[in-house]
Amino acid sequence: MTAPWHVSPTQIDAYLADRVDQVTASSIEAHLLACATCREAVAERRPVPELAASWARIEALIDDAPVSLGERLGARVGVPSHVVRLLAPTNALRGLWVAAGAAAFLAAAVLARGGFGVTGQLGRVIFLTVAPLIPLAAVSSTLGAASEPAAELARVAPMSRLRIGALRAGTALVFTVMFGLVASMIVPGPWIRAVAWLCPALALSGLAAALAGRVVSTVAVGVVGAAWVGLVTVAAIISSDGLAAFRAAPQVAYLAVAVVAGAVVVASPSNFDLRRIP
Amino acid sequence: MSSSVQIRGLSKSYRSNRVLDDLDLRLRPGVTGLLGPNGAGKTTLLRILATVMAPDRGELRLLDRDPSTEADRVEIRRRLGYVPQEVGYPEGFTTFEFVDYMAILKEISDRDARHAEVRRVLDIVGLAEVRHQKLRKLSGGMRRRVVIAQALLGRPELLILDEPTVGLDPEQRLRFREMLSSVHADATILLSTHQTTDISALCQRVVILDAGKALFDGSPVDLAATAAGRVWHATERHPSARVAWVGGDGRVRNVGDAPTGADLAEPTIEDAYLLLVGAGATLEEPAA
Repeated sequence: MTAPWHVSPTQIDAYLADRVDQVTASSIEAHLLACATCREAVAERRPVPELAASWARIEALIDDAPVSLGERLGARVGVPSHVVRLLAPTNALRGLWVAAGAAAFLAAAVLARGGFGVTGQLGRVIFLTVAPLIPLAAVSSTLGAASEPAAELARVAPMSRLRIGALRAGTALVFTVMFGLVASMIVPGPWIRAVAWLCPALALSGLAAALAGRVVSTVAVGVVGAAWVGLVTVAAIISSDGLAAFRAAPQVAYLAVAVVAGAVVVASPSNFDLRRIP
Repeated sequence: MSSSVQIRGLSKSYRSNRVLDDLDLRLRPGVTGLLGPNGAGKTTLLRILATVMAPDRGELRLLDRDPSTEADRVEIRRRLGYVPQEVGYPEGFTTFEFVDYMAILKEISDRDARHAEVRRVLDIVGLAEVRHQKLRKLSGGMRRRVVIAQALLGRPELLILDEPTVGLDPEQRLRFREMLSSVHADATILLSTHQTTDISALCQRVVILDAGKALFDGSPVDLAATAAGRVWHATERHPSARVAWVGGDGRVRNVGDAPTGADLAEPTIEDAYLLLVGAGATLEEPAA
């Protein structure tokens, strides 16, 4: 049904200029919903630049809105949008990788509790040996050209690759360590022994980062991981103590390795240039 | 005016294969086209100029800076736009997110300014309408335009474009030309192509690269002129022709050493290219 009256040009101008009271504005808006003639009249009298500006504001609102779950969560805890977007291509933070890491921690923790027929101290040794390998894999996956989906473009981007690498590797390390700590809670024995994998994890991850740009990241994982398993095995055989590699003195050495590796990383930022990283 | 790109004695080899051989080149603002057969060294040259890789030997200055030093390289990259031949795309990104990601890598951290710049470049390449679509849902030509859009971020002074028109349909190709014309006033643009029509439509200067050396360096008109008197029409292929084909009018266009009294035709860039590089050279685009 056609509305019986129309909004006058004067009223339209006052409405568009926001010079009418709330009741009048509501009345005009209710009328506009029913009257195509007045909608056209409003559209005609609205200055074009203002329309363009309104449209631009709407577009900007749509563009600025966080879309992905990660962005929404990041925005909620105050992480800047550009940081969240830089983290978006990080494999180690993607669903499948996170699930694989969590599953590996869980399986190792179940072994430590005597699951899968493992008896005695062996389960705990396996847990403490396997646990540092998971952050190592996660950190390595954030380094190297393979971790950058548009690597050819990223190679020539001015942003410091060390900064991007530190952000991604650091976040991957924090996430995996959190999962590891949760898994450690179900490992029997004193808490301090259950988290004896933490310093080795820092050392192995640091070594992987220090090797960036020198060897392919998968090779770094293989070499560092194999060296770690070899170290645990040799220490256990020599001292006849399965947990020899996790006692206090070696822990200090792991921390020292982590610190030195960190210093090497900071001292040679060009190693993170994607021109250098295979 | 100093040159934006200065190359002297540039060489690059992959094992025993010398791809660039003692190359000299200077580029100033404007569009320069790079023509050459596959394997001529075009992509290697463009990757060196885009700071993706370093040359083995030779002097190189980009935008009055030395790309072999870390600080200068970063500064060059701030003022550089690059369209590589092949690009991987981040899984799950929309068009807007991908270009926004590239803008972040170009150090535009202020969100409002960055988003405005992303909208500007997407508008230039005509992708504003699809900016919230996932990249994987776009056609090959649209994805190519996304890569072109990211190269325009920050209004670069040096644009390196490696076969930017591959995958674009005729209309998109025209839009690309229009777009490039609108940005090239102050910028130095070097584009490689297999399309001689791109060269004649866009470039003030053309360089023909073959086996890592510059065979020709001059204007497209001068290039076409090198074939003057060596292109003629006949009823059949002539024995002295290096290449010949039947044209749309049914006559055979011969390119080579014209016999006396031949019905000479106006030479094109394509004719000149074939004569310079050899009849075996290909100008066709590789299959998509």
